[in-house]
Amino acid sequence: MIALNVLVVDDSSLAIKKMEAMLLKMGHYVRHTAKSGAEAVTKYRYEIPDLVTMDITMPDMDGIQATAKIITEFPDAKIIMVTSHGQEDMVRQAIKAGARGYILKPVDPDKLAAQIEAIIKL
Amino acid sequence: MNGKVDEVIVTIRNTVMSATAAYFQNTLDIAFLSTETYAGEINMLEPRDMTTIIAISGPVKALIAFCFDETVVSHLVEIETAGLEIPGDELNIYRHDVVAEIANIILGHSLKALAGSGEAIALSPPLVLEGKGSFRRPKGANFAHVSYKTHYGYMDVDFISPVDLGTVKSGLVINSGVKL
Repeated sequence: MIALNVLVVDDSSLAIKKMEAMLLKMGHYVRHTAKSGAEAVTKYRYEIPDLVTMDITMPDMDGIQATAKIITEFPDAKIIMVTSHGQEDMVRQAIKAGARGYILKPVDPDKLAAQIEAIIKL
Repeated sequence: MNGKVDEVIVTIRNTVMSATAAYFQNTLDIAFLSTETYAGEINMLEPRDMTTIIAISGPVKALIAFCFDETVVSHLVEIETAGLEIPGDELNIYRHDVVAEIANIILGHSLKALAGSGEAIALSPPLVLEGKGSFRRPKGANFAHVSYKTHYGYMDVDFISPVDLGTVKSGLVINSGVKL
């Protein structure tokens, strides 16, 4: 798999650190991280990453709103929602906003790798 | 303790208890040595050394507080940060994130069962409080409580319904030892 530049978005420093470690292990790299939806939109415009991992529940602007905003400006953006929500309605909202896929917390590295591969092939 | 039991809060409590047991025992490998539950009329709850509170809203409204002994927090931090390089001066941020993330995951996994086929239930971002304090019962609200004993100390989960997170910020937490 090619090395991707990934923007990691989560309001938890721990979740960012864990995601960063998993992505580095897979051969990808993380140049920027964001701790709110609003910061994610700003960092996306600046960085134009290959992929975004986006938490849903965040202060300021949630992950679904941030996804919708990024997709409006960059329709080809590849965003994976990373969430603890098992609710179908929440997942539907995320996909409707433009997310290409989602993964449940706690994140399983194999499932994350499979999601990334599927999304990059799209 | 006895009193009138509210069915909604017992349903929330039982659903969250299942998710808590699954996460602690299967994912974190922390066994519960004993479990005590209560639901009904009480006026005050006393959190432990560290507490994370999340509001759920939508068809079901409640505040759910996960209260940990410091010894439990230390063990959780050890598990959750294993293999990560954490600078010493950032350790406190990670302690907060560990308890917040655990509560978030447990409640996130409980929502599917709570929402059923109805509208989605939203979770607030977690609010982490440090230090022992007390929750006084808001007017008209019901409390339920679960206490777990582990090898590392105690953890409680408290349920308050129907109230929102604003209630906590506006003075539900009344002990001056608690830091918001």
